[in-house]
Amino acid sequence: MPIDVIMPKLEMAQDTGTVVRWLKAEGSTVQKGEPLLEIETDKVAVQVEAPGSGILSRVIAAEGEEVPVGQVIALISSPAEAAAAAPSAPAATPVAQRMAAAHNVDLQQVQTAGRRIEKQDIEAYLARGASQPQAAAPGLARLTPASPLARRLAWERGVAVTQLRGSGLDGAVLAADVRQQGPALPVQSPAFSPVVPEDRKQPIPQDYAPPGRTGTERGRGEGQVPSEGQPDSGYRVIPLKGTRKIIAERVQRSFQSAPHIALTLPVDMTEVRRLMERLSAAAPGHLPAGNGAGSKLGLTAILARCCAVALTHHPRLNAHVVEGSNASLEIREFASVHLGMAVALDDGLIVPVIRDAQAKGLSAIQAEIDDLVRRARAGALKLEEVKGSTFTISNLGMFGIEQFSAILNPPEVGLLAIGAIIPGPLEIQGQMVMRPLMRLTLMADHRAVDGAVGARFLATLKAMLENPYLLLT
Amino acid sequence: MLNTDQFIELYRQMVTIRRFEEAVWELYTAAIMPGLAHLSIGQEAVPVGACAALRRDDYITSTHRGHGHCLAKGARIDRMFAELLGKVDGYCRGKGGSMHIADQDMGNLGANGIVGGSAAIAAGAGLSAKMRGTDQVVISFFGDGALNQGLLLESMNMAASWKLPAIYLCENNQYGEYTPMVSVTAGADITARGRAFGIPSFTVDGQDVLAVHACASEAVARARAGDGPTFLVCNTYRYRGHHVGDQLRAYRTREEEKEWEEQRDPIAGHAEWLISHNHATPADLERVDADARREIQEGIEFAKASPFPPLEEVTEHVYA
Amino acid sequence: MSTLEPRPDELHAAVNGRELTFAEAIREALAEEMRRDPRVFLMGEDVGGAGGVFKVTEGIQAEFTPKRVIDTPISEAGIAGIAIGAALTGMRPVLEIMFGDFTTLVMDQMVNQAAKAYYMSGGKLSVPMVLRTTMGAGRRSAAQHSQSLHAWTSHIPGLKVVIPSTPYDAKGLLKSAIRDNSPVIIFEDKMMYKLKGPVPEGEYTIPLGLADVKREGQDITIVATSSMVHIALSAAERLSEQGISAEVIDPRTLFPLDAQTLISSAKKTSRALIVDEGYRRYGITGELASVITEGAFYYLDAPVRRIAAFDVPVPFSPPLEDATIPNEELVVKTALELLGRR
Repeated sequence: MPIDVIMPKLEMAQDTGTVVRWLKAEGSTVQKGEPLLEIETDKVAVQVEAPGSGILSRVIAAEGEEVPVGQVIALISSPAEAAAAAPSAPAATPVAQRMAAAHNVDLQQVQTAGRRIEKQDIEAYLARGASQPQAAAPGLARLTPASPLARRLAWERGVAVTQLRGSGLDGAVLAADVRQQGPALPVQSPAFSPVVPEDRKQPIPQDYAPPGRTGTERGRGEGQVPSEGQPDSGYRVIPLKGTRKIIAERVQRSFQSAPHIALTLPVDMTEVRRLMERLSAAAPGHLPAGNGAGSKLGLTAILARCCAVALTHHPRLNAHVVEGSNASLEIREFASVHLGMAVALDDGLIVPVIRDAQAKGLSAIQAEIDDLVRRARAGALKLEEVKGSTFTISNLGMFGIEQFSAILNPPEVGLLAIGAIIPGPLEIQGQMVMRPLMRLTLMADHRAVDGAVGARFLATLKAMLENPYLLLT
Repeated sequence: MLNTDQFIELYRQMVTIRRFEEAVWELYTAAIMPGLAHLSIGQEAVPVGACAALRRDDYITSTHRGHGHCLAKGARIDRMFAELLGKVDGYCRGKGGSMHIADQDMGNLGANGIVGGSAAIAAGAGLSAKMRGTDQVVISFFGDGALNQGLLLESMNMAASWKLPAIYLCENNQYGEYTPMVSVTAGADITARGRAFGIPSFTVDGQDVLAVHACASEAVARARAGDGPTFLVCNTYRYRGHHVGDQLRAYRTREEEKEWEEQRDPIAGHAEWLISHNHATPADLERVDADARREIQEGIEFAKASPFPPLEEVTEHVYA
Repeated sequence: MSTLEPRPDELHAAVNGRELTFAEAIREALAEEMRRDPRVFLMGEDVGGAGGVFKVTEGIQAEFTPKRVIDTPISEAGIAGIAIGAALTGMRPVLEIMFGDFTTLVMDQMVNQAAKAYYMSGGKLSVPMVLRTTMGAGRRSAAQHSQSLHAWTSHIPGLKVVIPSTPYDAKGLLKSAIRDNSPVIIFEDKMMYKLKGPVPEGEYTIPLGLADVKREGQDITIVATSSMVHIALSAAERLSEQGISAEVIDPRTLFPLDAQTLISSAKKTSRALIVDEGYRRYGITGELASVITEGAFYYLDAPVRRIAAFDVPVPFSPPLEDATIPNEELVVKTALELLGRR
């Protein structure tokens, strides 16, 4: 029989006592006479000792709870009793056990109509899991207050409400908090990249309405001011959470641990432009579109291709700085180029990876870019598609940014920041001529890359872009 | 005035009710019949004598002790048993049970589980008959327990005020459930309650089927003529307890029961009268009894063979 | 119904503009049904010569004679039973119980008799009657003449419960109730009898079990009954000044309940607030909140909130009484809370 821990009566007129703190956690071993918990009456605060030895098998009264004297507040069981009380693994057929193991299914969660869990029970459980909010998650999720709609949206988007800070009553996560998080994006993904304007698509005016003006005709769609907005104070609070939080932590870590150097080189893009015109004129059939018809060869694909080839000549740039087996740092140069492409999202960014980019032709790269960007914006990327890049490119040219520096995507040692193509003067054979110039900035981790190494990589890249026919070689 | 066949018919009905109730006792104690069973053994002369004064299109309202009223108003034995067993062929498709048998075709507006609950409903049926311009009348059966329900008095007041064709018929079986009527009912003369409303009120020997019939006939005639309600107090006795489970009957003596059963039994009394007035021979009455027993047996077989209502009927008949 | 499409009562108002008070609309429904069907008759305390304490039946007895408009003694249980008996045997009585508080006296007859006859008889006996009674506080009538007890009867299978908010609805719903073959109870807010509204001439009915969207909106659903509909509409107007678009839904009948309209609206707005003048505990607001929560759970972005009468006997003293009744201020405040705008 388990030993009852009761709320002691310490004074004549005492009716109740309040549990202040449990000094032992449920499941831990306790010795008779050992302090077990602190309680408080309206006169005193005292420690209560364990009335017996064994395992604190059940804590009945929670901390802060006021309990009538004499009432059982916990149970201490012998190890044998505790083991008997623990739920035993349900009976399952060998096939069901194998399936459960393969799919990481907890057999306790599986229901069966028969006496043993069978194959079809596992299948039914898995089918349910695909169409319902995970039943397995509630352990933590239940502790996070969230509105039903917020939970539903979060589930649809693959976001864990536990990762969000709620703006509702009692800190409840509301739908707006989930929507703010952006479209579907696995929370654990290493979403990161350098400086991309975060609120590119956020309409600014109403959110920063001056005091006294509280946008009356606001629609319900995109850009709606979340309820916690306080127009009167002149700013609104956007909690650093979810993807935003991950980005923040990663750029901070990167900037603090890797000594960044930046090298900029202008490139004459005349020949690239000519190449693009020729290729697009040459009938679209020559460039098999990725997943969608009308896919056109873009500058990014050419840059990616050139970059990948250039990296094979400069393996030091296609590398990671990581902690090695003996706990000291080491540089790892990779044979294959897994090229990360920073893609801006509504609020945040994500870096899908083109694997073995050095081995892929222009059309294959273009198709892959189209597909990755589309799915990144739809929130449909898989975890493995955003992992393992060896070098990253980031393009802000479409915003007219001439050149910029960026934060490295750790543990990579290099990142290419691509500016806009802007007409500029170039001295050719003693004459100043106007040419379409693009400024490439190489960001590098000085721990692995010295300035000259970076400069040589940029020179190779420049040579390829100014004579893209080298790609044929 | 009734003829020989009708005199024997009164006997047949009383015997049928008794055999019916005895069979209910057996079904109940054999755990075949669910719920509660309130038996009217000993009281047979009241419903039989009163309903013999009614036409088929006249109405009655009944009580929790209502098997006799149902049978006397023309209900079929087999469908009654089916109802008692909760079967689909019962009068109410098994949804009413012993306390709620209704049979509109015979003018039976329903037995009632609420003591006195149908007193005003009966008056309403009388009002309706009057408004519709028919000469239908209604008998409201109730027990002595209902005498102390305000609703009965409200209803009597309106029936008298509006001259409704309603007959208030109290079956005074001396005990309201487990309590002697006299211990909770003020005023020595119950009929005074009716007279207070200006209603003609009479005490009748409820163990004499001919007396009940005669008084009821007069009341019905008054009602049909538009002269308003009558109040009849029929003194009678239930031989068994309040319901089958009431075996102790500590509220009364075995001697008192024996006296009613042996000296005032309505069936024995009427049999004696039929024989002494040459309407029947003992053999005739034996035959009547045998027929009744056979009919009861067939009814029970029918009810047992009838299925329970399909489960989907549980949500049917909530709204008309 | 889109906002561009006028509601029937509005359309009518635009065309011929006839307006009736709530009481007049009910009277017209009674008279029309009595002309149409000789089985229909009225009974109740002071409904005849006096025309009812709220003058709803004024003039009806003059047209239909005391035979069909019956003044009864003050015997609520008795007259309810009489109505049931008449209904069981071919008539269609309309019974008036002067104050909703007095429905406590008819509970056995309505709950144990009227509500159950059809079921207990396996569908053979039916009770086509209407019980008209009142609800609503605000008349300084104190605790025994001010209650809104519609939850009591709504709880009972076998009874239908109608709770109109406008003259138009009152007329159309009462006519349907009289034609219904089951017992129907109508709760009329006595504070609305003088409320005017468009009522077209001639025949129309409103089916029982059809909610009405009294105002369309996007941001929050306010489900309101009887006079609370008007409070909800005023609140919605004030909310619109703050850029909040509130949808106001009037269930019109508590049973049958048009749950789908309530649920659909809550799914659309993600927030719901119920306003009813009955007592809060174990009441209509709780039931409707449950219906919405069950039906729209995964669309809700906030708990469903309830506003109802205080759980106290209605006090006499005017400031105290007023404090117990839901008001526009509270609806606005609660709606803002639900929207996170405090």
